[in-house]
Amino acid sequence: MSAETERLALSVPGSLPGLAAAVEAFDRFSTDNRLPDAVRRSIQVVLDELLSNTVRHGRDTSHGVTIDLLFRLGARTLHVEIGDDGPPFNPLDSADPDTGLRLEERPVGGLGLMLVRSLVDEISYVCEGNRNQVILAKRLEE
Amino acid sequence: MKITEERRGEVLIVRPEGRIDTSTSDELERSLMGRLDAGLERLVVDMGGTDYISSAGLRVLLLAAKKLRAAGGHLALAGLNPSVRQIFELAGFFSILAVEADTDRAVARVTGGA
Repeated sequence: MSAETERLALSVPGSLPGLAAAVEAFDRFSTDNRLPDAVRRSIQVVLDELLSNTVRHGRDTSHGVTIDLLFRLGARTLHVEIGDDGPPFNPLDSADPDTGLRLEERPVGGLGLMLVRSLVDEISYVCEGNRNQVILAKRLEE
Repeated sequence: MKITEERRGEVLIVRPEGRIDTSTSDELERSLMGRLDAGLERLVVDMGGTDYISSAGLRVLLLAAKKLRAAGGHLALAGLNPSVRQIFELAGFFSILAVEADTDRAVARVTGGA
């Protein structure tokens, strides 16, 4: 039997309830496929960071934003594609926050995208037409 | 989000259950800030029931830590699972927050003061 691939494709509105629905759907996908906790938790953080950015940036658009997600499970790697029709936004484009600052000096924001880049093994971004597309991969074993 | 509280002397132990992320962090923030605004000076956050934390959750912990520091209070965290530990490492939080292996140690840490 060849390596089986499990897939989950779904679309959610670019809203906080949509974000929650995406995280819940991936949670079930993880359980159904017995993903290691470390992988599931990392991807759930990544989804929270990326989708909350999409929701935030899409708030001023005249049309509602739609987020399309695709999860593909290979023998050794989980592939995730996240597309949306919101304003162009590249999550790879932000500078890392200074994590060496003392408590009083630490700004409250800026950590999310740094976490995303650290929690996945591969990540790429493309803006095509009016669509943002983030493609990422996470190895199943450390 | 289910948040339970336990008092041990002057120390309040707050235990959020589940994930601390965009959907749940506002509630945790209201809970912690409410306690701090009411004058709480010794706070332990028991992370034993926390599945994972995103930057939205880190933001709440940072706000609580800053507020307590400014008031001369003490905060300690306990019970971090490996995923939460990894997030803390990436964010550099171990150098700015007191983290103990378990709740008893965290209570002792904020009681002794640092």
